Amino acid sequence: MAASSSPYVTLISNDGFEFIVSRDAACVAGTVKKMLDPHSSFAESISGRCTLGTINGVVLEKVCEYLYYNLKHKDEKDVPDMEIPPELCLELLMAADYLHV
Amino acid sequence: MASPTREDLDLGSSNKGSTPSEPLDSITSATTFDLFSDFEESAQSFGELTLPELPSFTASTVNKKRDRDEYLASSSDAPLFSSDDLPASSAENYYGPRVKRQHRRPWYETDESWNTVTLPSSTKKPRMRGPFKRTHDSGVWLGSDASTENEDNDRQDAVRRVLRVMESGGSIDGDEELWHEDERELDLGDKVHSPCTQTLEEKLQQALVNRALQITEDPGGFEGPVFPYWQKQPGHLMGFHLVQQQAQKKVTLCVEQGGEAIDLSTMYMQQVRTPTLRPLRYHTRIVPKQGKGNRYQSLTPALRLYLSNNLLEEVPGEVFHLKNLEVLSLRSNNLTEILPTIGELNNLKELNLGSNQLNWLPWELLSLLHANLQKCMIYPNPFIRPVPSTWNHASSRELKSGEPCQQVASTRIAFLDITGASLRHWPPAPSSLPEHWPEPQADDEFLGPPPEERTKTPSLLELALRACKKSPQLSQLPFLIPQDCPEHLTQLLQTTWKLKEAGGKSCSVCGHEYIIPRTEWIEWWYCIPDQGFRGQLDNMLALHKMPVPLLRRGCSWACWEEDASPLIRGWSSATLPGGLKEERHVHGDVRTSPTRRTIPPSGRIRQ
Repeated sequence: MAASSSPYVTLISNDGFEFIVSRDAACVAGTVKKMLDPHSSFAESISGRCTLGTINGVVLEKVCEYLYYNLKHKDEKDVPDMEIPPELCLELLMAADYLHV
Repeated sequence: MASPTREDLDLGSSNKGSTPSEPLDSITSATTFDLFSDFEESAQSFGELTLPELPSFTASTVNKKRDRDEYLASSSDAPLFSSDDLPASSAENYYGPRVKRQHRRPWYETDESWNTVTLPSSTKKPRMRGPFKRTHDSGVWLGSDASTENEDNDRQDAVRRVLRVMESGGSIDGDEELWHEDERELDLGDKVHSPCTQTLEEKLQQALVNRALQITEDPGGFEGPVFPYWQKQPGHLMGFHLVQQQAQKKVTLCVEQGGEAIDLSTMYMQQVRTPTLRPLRYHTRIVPKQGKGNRYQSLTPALRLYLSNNLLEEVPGEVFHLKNLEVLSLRSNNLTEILPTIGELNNLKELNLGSNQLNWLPWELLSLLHANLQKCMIYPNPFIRPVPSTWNHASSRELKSGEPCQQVASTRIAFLDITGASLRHWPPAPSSLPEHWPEPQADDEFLGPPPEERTKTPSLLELALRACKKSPQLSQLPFLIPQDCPEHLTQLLQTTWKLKEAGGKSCSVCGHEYIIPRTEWIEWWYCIPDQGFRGQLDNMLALHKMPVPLLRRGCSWACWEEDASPLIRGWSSATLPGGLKEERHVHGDVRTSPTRRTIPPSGRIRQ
């Protein structure tokens, strides 16, 4: 399918929010990278849509922010910390562990 | 004959200073004349009888009366402004400030009281303040008359109350009943009333010391914490142990008396609670009274903390906050790791880490040696040893004491994944045995991460943990994680919590604060200064010559010393330089660095 070569993939939260991010950014997350691996014949790699059943929309938005933050500062020496609201820290911790990022 | 007498009488009965009106004067003099003319006649009839003696008027009394009368006669409203043209406001009519309360009663209630009850100021008695009553001798009431005295009384009352509560053994803010035991007069309370040399504050201090002494003598008698900030500590952290109580008492005693040596040795403690050591943060030196020696002395104490001969498995986090620590003894414990935060204790002069289970020391110890550390005892400990034939003396720097400090060898770098676990196929690192350290193999996966992944960007897990560390509810967070979550998250949160108690650690390469290490390796250094073993046993001397393994940790995969392990640079290519494999077998796993440059003295060591 055309989706496997598209530069954008869709991340879907458990409450139905869809985030369209670039494939480079999405592949920062280890779990998503394996999902989208073209050599694996996972359904996600064919359709380009990853449903993340344990992450809700608010947290996934922050995760997407991090993916681009990582991509942006990849080669920098002095990386500024990303702001994380304290009420999200525990959920983000679990999401990060799940996504291996 | 009688005329002078008559004149005197006239003088006495009329107003002298004021200008008397004419008719009144004439009437008065006429009547008196009539009176005395009769009297004179009768006196003449009795022969040479003279008049009865006149009451003796002293000059002062006469003046007083006159002043008062004149004052009353000319009393009028006080001028509001100095520019008022009223005659009363002129300087002639000014009688000076009135002396209030010189008489106990108003003048009209007593005949001669104004003469006798004037109190000399030197023998002033405390006034009894009754309900306010308007008296006629004063038109103005000044409410602030005795207010300062009152304040002083209140203050004394407060101190007295504290003393009383402490005497009865309660806590200061806790027992409500004790506050109302005002009727019970204690010895101390009575002494307060009597004039003595000791001030109340000194008494309070003495009572505090007595209290502390009583606590140490009688371990059962200590019912609760003395200071309120201990009560605010969460109670569920660790069980309240008898040993902990005793430790707390010792610390309390030191803080109260201003002692600088805190001896908590041989108490069989497995851990020291944070609130036990917390008062030491606010420890100030007690400076001797003025007049004795130098008046200007530092209030910063030079603390000496002895935690030797216990069962500690980790250094209490609170220790790292005691920046005034000069001597720290952790000898004979079960320590397996010293946190790199110890590098923050810049005033440390003496450190004893002997008889523990340490396989390595933190690399930050070097910065301590650069600062003030003069005596550092680290043996015996099961340190990892490099293979002696591979030592290299290329990298060196000088310590403050002038002794050389040389790096002689290092292991290769272990890369850890985002949770701090070692990568696949690698044993849990760091391991105590050199042969367990990761070896480069033909398979790429063992050669560490590919170069494009060696970024300094922190992982999201790390960022989330940093956010958790800032959260005030960090101690509760492990309980908020759902049950089905992986266990290592709970462990990570607990590690974060311990780190927060100790004050956090920073990367040994870039200096950033971090929580999960991503790289780690061990360097062997000749760095421990002379321990005074010279001239003693030979094996001691041999121990002294051993290089010390120092563990370095980096916060990201990009954080490793360029020249820490030159082999790492060859790793990006899949093929290894020839002969390395054999060398590895010969020398174990310790990699030497034949081309290592000398690190400049300013180096990477944080001051």
